Amino acid sequence: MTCEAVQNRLLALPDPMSATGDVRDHCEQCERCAPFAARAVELDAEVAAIVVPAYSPEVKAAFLARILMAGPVIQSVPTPLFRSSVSLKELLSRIPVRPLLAVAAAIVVSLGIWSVVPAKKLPVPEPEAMRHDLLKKVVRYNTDLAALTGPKDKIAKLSELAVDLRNETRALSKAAQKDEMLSLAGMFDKVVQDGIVAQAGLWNPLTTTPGERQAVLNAAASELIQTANEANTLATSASMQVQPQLLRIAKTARDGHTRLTKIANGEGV
Amino acid sequence: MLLADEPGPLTPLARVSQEPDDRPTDEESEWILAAQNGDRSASAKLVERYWDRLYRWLYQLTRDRHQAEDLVQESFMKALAAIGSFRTGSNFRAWLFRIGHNNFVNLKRSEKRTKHPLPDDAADPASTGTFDRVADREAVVLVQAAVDNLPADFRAALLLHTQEGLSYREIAAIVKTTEETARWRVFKARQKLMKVLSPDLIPPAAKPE
Repeated sequence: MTCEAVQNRLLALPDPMSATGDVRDHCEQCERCAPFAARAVELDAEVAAIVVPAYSPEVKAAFLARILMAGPVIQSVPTPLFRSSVSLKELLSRIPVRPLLAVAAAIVVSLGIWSVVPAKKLPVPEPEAMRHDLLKKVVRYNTDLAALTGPKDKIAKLSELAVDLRNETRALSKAAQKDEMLSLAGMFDKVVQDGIVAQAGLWNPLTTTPGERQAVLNAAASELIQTANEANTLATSASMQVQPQLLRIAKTARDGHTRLTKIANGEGV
Repeated sequence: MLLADEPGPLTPLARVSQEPDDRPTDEESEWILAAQNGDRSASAKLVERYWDRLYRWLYQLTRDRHQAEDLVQESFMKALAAIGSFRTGSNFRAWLFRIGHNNFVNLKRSEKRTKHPLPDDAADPASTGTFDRVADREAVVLVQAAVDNLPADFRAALLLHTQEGLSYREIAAIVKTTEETARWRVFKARQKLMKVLSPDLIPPAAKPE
């Protein structure tokens, strides 16, 4: 048996350590396959040891709270069955035939008349283009931001946008679908992480007085913590569909607040 | 091209698994029964038991924490809504993971553009106490990167096998394939990892893909 065949057999085992017979004999004697077998065993252990970022405990807690919440249990409703003793003939005989025939006849006559009479074309009103205040605001913010040069002004402007997003979250929390709230949460992430926090990190302390810098950053941080608290509160009464996104907004806001506070205190990002 | 003695996906000899099923514990069976009768605390216990494991697997498939969290919740909601149809005595974990996999596949289908993982979302393997030695931690980092580069089907099967200890039959049920294809995916995943991580141990004839 070649080394290649032995190694393939090793990797095909549920547990590479459980090699028997020819494969084990070969591994014991072969300088190349012995370390290969050992490495295959190590590899499984290393894959098993891969760690992932921790999930948000708030998301899990909210989910569990939802499961435990009083109310009707989600269960399938059994479909009532007909008695097996009822025959098909009997069932059909119970259907009122005359009214059905009358309706069918009326439909046929209506279709016939409709096909011979030329239809009048009614004026179709032009659909009004959908207007979305938030979208308009975002466009305006983008235009404003493009004209600003320093982190100080940009942070202030982005904070205003974050507050608008908070207001939008409040308005949508009761009625929004999952996709809408997902978009909103994504937008909020971007404004906070890629906008406010990123600008704060870029802000050279030497370009302003410590007091002014601290005031701007603290003001932005204060808005963020307010958003975090509000989103958390909204999540308790929101639907299961949007609850995770509200908690995500709360977390983003809280993380942003922490990072801004650290930067304001000169502790870096 | 299949290499020498590779387990082909359709080898008839390997169709019947000899591996034991991962049977549910008595405790878990009781929870399932209670959940089927509308006991919410029993449902919560099932969530507690499998949340971490399902999240871990789904995170490694999506490489996005928020997506993984959403998928976990969606999977549990579907599982608990349909728990009445779950056959008592069968493998709840495999059933739940199958729902999770379906949700993952649906998510990928619905994504219009490819997303790339954010580097700051990655966990710091050094923060875990599983591996104490620096060399071991470095090895896990390398393995993690190599696993991330595996095709999603191979990755899903390998992680279910190594991290969840599931049999090929159970993996096949979760990812909706044959037992032999599940075995083949785990094999190919290991083979690719060995080629990337320990190329010096591969015989010269086997090195080209």
